[in-house]
Amino acid sequence: MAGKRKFELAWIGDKEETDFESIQISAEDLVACQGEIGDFKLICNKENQPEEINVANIIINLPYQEEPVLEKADSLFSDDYDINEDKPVIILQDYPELSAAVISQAGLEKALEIKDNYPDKEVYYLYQAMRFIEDNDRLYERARESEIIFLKFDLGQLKIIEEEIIHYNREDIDLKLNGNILAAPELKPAKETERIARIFNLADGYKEYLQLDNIYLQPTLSGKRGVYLLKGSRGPTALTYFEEELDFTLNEVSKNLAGVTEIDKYDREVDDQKCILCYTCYRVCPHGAIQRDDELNSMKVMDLACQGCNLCLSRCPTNAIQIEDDYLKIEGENEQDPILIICENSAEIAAEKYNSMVGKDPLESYQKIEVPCVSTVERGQIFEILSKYSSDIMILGCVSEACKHLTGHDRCQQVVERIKEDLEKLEIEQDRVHYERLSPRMAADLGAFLADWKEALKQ
Amino acid sequence: MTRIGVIGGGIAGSSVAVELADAGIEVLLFEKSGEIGGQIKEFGCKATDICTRCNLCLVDSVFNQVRRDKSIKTKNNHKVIDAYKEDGLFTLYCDTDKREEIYTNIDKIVLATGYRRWSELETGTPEIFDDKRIIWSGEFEEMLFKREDHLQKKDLDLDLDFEPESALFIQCNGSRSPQEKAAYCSRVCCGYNYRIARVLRESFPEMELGIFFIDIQEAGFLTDLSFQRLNDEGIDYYNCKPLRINKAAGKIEIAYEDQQEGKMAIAKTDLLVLSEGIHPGLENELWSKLFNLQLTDDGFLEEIVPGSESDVYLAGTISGPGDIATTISKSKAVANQIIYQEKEVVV
Ligand code: SF4
Ligand code: SF4
Ligand code: SF4
Ligand code: SF4
Repeated sequence: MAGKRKFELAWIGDKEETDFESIQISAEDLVACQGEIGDFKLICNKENQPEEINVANIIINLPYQEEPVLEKADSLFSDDYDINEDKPVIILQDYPELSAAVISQAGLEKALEIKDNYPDKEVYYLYQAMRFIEDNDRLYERARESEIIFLKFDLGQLKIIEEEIIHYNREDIDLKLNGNILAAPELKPAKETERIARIFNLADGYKEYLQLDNIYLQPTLSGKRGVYLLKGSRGPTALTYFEEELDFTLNEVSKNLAGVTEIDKYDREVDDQKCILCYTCYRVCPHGAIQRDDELNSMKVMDLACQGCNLCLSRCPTNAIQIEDDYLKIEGENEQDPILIICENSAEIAAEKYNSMVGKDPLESYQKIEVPCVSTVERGQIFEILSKYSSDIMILGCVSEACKHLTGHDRCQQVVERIKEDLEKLEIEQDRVHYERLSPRMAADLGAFLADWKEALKQ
Repeated sequence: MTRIGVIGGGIAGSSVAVELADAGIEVLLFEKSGEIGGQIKEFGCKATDICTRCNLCLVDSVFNQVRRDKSIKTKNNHKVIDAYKEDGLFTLYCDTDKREEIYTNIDKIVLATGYRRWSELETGTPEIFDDKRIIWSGEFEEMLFKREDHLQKKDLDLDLDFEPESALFIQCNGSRSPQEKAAYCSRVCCGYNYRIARVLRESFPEMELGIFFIDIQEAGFLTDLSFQRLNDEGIDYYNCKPLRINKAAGKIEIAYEDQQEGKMAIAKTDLLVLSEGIHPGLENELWSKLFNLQLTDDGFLEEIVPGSESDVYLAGTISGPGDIATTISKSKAVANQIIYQEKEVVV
């Protein structure tokens, strides 16, 4: 390695002005990322000069790829567009689909710019819906006053006949427009997205972006602590609140620099004698918290990156990952009671809420296992419970895309389906195992549901 | 030891308090009502077969932490009525149920007193709301808060004393209209009502659904809301503002201009849901005077000097419309700014 340098922040892609000691790295040069928040090691290979760079935080900020929707039109984002002497200018905002809010702003600015520079020019503005961010409700008002001709269209009311002629047909207006078109490009995920996803071990994002479609990642989190996503790396609407997203991210970086503590109080140790380096844990960890320990020749859990879901433990084929917490403990007074496996992020909160509203604990007279994420449910565990107890098992997980550990809900669903298949083969009643999803806001539903279920079981 | 006074116990104030407490900073949280939680305390989950990203999942853990964390001292029933700053420290006067209470030695203030709904404003046309067929979207939220259909796989209980076979939503009601003193777009109602319409669609596949709007907005993180989606889901849309609401016997009639045909038309519905928008809070004027803040044309607050100089910070919808996720992330950003400054002082 050529050398080692340490920075507070690394920008992968575009850089923004900050007070942090930062370094800009191009996506093409990056080959690997190790370490965890506060102490990442980025391996770069610039012109065949390998270098290891130490950084505390990482922001991936790659631009969108812009794809033109009409071959001959100029881009709405370009400053270099044709103005033809005799022909009008046509701004096309939402073709073929509705554009993101930022494009309304860019379109209005462009229309006003043209009108200011060429006051006599006819400017048409074709759009499906005006989107409002920052001050563009004011821009819109100004554009209306400056005699820009706004033509709104619904599905099927606008056709591109030839490359430069637009047919607009709505109400009693039937227009064929021929002019210089400035069209909103289609925004696509940044280049290199797939390679970057692999380097950071991030799950497949939404529509090929890097960020997963999950409410817990808003606005710019990646699932991996200390790695943030902006613009064309984040998602299709990342420009709508770009200033706010940037501000949030930089303030997170400041907070991290002031000190990072572990999210989960338990340590997870990998027994290097048992680990067979199968990489299962590496693949399933939703938070990119597992790495190979080259010295011990086994895997290791990065304690600051770990968010405590226990998925790795439940999936390790050799039980190599150890924790001091008995996280599968069944709590309850009566062994006859049905068993609930509940997620602390949904059912547990809903139950508490129900209790505070109605004054009755909906989990009372159940045996329960509280888990950080229902994805930890596995076949062995369920079969053990089924053989030891006579009662039914109800697993309560989270609604899709509202799972704190990102992929938990689906993993649990798969496991439950497989268990049911096995039970069917073994000719054991497969309906002893149940799986339902809820959100922490479904307190009333949960209370009534559990009461009903108990009634049903009695009969 | 630094003390931060957070005024307002809704999601913005609570998010700030939790972040500060996590960093070991003492927080006094002043809430004027009897409990924390604010407007969204009784909003409901809008999941259908999938989560529609209403973001309410994020809020209860925040409120629970406020209740548990010992370094957050929550003062319920405390309405801040006056404040002054001396030697760099604030003193706050609060109206409580019983008497006036005074809190001194507060290093910084975070204002997070939120917004009002249209139904809370004194303007408008109250007479149309005697009609039980017309409800606010906020009332719908409360129905969803009590929903028992998801786990129990039943129909949604609408908590109305009739069974609507059709529902229409009117967007931009009370927003984007200078007459209502709100020339701006509230930015959240399009997304919220669309989510409600989807819940209805899932529960009542036969119900006729339609939305009147001027311009459909991006729905926060629900990125693929579009005309095509509405079409696909069988939700009619009327791309115009309605002209007249007629409370006819039987169905409510809404007169509008049919853009496709270029003539007047009438839409009929059993249930009419009005969007409410986000309007400036009552206290904004007082805060602007007490803490030297700019009141915008729309009635929201802006900083004149940055918080790092004035020691007064703004969090949440006090400075303009925003959805839950944006409110939480902006509030965290405010807290992190304060934390960073504190740590710098220590170093
Ligand atoms: S407990 Fe969860 S977050 Fe932690 S290392 Fe295991 S899988 Fe990753
Ligand atoms: S799953 Fe277990 S055996 Fe496989 S790599 Fe991880 S720790 Fe080692
Ligand atoms: S719709 Fe809202 S409350 Fe329901 S699961 Fe999604 S984010 Fe949570
Ligand atoms: S969000 Fe939609 S309904 Fe609300 S004011 Fe804006 S355009 Fe109107």
